[in-house]
Amino acid sequence: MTPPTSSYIISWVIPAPTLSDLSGSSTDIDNDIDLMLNYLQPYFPPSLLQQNWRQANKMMDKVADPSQRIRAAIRSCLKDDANQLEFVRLYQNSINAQFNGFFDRFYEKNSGQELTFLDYFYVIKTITTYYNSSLMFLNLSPLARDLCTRNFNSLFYNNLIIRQKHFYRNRRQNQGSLPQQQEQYSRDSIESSPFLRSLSTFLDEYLFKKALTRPFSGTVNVIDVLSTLISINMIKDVNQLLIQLSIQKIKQFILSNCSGIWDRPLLESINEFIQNEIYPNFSVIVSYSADTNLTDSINNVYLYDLIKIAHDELVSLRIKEIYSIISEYPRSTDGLYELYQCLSTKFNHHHYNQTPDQSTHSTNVINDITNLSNFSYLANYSLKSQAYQRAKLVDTFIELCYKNLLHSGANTVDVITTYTKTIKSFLIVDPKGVLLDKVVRPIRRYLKTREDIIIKIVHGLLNDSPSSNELIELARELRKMESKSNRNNSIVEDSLDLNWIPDPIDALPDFKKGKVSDIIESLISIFDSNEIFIEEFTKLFGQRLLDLHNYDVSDIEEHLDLLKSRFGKNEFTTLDIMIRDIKESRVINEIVRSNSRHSSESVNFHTSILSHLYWPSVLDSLSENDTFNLPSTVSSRFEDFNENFSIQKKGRYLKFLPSIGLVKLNLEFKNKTSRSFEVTPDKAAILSLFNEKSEELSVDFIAKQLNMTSYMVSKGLSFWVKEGILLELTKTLYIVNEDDEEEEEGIVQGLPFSQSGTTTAANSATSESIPSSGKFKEFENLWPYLRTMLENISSLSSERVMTLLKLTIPKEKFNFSAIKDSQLEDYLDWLVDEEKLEIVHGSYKLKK
Amino acid sequence: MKVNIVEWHGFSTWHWNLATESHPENSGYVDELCGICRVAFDGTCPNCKYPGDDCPIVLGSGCTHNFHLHCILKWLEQDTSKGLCPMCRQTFTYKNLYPIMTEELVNLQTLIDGHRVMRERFQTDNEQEFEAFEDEDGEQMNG
Repeated sequence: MTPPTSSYIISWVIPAPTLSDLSGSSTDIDNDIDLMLNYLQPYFPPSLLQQNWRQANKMMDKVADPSQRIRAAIRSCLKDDANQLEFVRLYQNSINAQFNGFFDRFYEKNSGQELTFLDYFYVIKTITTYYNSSLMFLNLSPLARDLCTRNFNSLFYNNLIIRQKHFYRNRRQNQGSLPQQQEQYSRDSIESSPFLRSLSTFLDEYLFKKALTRPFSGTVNVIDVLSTLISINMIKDVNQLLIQLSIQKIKQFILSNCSGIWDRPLLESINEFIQNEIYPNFSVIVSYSADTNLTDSINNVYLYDLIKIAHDELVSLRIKEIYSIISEYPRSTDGLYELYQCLSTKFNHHHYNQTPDQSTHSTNVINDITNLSNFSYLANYSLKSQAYQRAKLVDTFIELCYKNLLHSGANTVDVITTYTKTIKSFLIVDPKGVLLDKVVRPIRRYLKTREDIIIKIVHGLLNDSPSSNELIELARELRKMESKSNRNNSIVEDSLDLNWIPDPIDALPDFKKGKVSDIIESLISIFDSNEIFIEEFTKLFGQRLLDLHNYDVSDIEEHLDLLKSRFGKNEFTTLDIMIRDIKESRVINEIVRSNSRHSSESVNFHTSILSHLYWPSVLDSLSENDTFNLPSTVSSRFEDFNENFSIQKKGRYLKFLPSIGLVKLNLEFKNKTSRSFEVTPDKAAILSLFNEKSEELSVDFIAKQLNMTSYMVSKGLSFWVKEGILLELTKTLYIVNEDDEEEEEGIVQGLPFSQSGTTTAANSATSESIPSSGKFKEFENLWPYLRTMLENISSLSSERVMTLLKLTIPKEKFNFSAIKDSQLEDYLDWLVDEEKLEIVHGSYKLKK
Repeated sequence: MKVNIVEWHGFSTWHWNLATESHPENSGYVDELCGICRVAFDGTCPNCKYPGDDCPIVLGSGCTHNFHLHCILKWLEQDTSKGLCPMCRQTFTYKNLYPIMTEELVNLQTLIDGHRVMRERFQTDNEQEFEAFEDEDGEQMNG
């Protein structure tokens, strides 16, 4: 930006020759020149030269009509072109001096306050009117006139924009806060010129806030302003400002009306807004300022550009929101669909001018318009190309994913849900799946590292109840598959496909069409092999088949068919065999039942017959400890069954798996009440030992009878105690709870069995005969504690007994400070005498 | 209290009765794998999907070797098998467990019979050489 300053410096150092220089010479036309010069004085609108021009009469200054003598003088002075040009040059120089002087004072005076556009406008208007009027009488040739006009234009431009900028910049520089790079953006930083800033405010006010045609400030109106600005060749800047303003308006509109709103279509309202609010003003100014005759179709180009800007703005907004939008799916379907529209529509100018008769014409006009309005320049500045938007969308989403989802604290189900939503949403945004392909990669990588994903997916696929299945979407998807699966078979090889289209340009090298379009397929393909899923399915179905007590496998078969269509028919060999086992078991059970010599009222015994090599998930978990003796009634039934089976299936026999299955029991009590239970076989076997027995049974006895581990026996017994069927006499002795049964359920809950160890011991101890005598009466409280202790730690020395008792018994129950150790020892010895305890190797033990 | 077992749904596994019935004296080691395909008898031969009825087994009665029916059929279909047990080279005969003669069992019987006829013809034609062959064979077995 040096040129203007340098020229000014020169003009200041050596004052340009002015008309007053001319009058100094003594020629023939001295007189004429004097007359003319006097007439033209003071080379500047006099009203503006007054100190308080603002308050001055707003009438425009004009050079007075020249008298006849003056006209003649002018004619004689400006006889030929050479004279005219010379005159114009000198005239302009003197005007320059005035101009610069005026604007120097003008800015100096008003530096403290922002001038309104009307102030500027008034100045401009006054000056142009003044000079136009003076020029009118000079009768200049077109060439000279043109020279004049151009000179005026550059004077205005220099003074209003460039010098003003300098002026303000210098001021800022003096204040020491100038950002250096601002110089390079002379064009962009229009705002840095107070004149343009005021012009922009003006346009904003009168175009977008008030009606365009409404007159303001008396005589001034927009058309007047525009024509004045056109006359000083500033329409370029006006257009530029206008475009900036419009874009700003659009941005504001989009931001305030579209952010966070994804559940309804918005494009329509955006288009309407532009068509009704922005475009009318816009087109008025543009069409007024453009000298070409704009046809409607060309005007549409602006409309298109504005809409395109709005759409791009919407896209940038959506890109920022993309993660939330996808989390909101399917509520955000409309928003996604509009994003797709914005990203995929390939308008160009020619679309709008496709009418054949205009084709050559229109391109010319377009060039005109772009030159004239800088539209394409600004458009490129504010728009991003579609490719960029697509890439940005992907990048932003991935980044947000990492931030919000793909960290170690995330729940696998959430990730899977987001994954499915991502697939569905991105297929709306980009039906070809290129973006999706890019976006899902990090999620897939992450999912691969989650250990529980297989189980989650498998359960998601198979659980049809929406309440318990967080991934019900998958189950639905699996069912939907049925109809789709047929189509998959008809996929043609690429090389044979007549409708083959190349992959989209931004696809990754290993992009496969439709690879990720199917959600289940996509989830499965995270893992290199199906096997891991098949295994999990087999495990799950195995458990279901075990829990199946009516041999009806139709439900499972239906599921399996769905899975087969997805994973391949031959992948489920093991499951096929398992299902067939159950089906055959049903047949065999029926045959055996019809052959059975047992009467119908005896035990309804049936068994599922498994091919033991094909039920690894079930049978491998069984250990030696899981076998036990069946109640005799049942085992005889099994023997019969086995015999029958061997007849049916020659050369084969059965091995019973006692620990799995289901038993229905009906308990009849002495008081004629009865209760029904469905329990596991081990519990049934345990309880059946109490059948018609009134005496108590010990854990050891039961374990021996059933050939069961005592741990299992205790577990089974405590189940029955909890149900209120048995009573726990001691830790090892149990008896049928006949008497309490009269009071039914209430008492069952009231029983203290669920309470913690020591109190249970204390309570059950009270029901026993407490070993007591007058002598050791004060020690009575100790017995339950002592007994529990010895049950848990089989033998203890008397010192250990002392310390442990002191630790465990609360002070308020027993005061140890009151007794001596020897007393306690005496008590222990007494207990031995009473055969409650025994001494083994100097330690006390419970007497068995 | 009276405990009535109303219904008992149990689970059991089926197994081929390999030793106890056919060779009660051989209470010790019983090979659980088919000597030809090396798959458990309770599983299937390589060509079958479902174990059990679909892929029965054949118990050797001359020797202690058992095979999947399909496996031994394949073996006997070859002329080179000469109708011998692939494991011990004794003439292969089997115990018929099955009340119904299925097509496959008929085939098995035909094959065994065919080999026997061949063997007998061979024996009468060239008894000398057959004996020598048999000796050699026996030595190989012993060696």
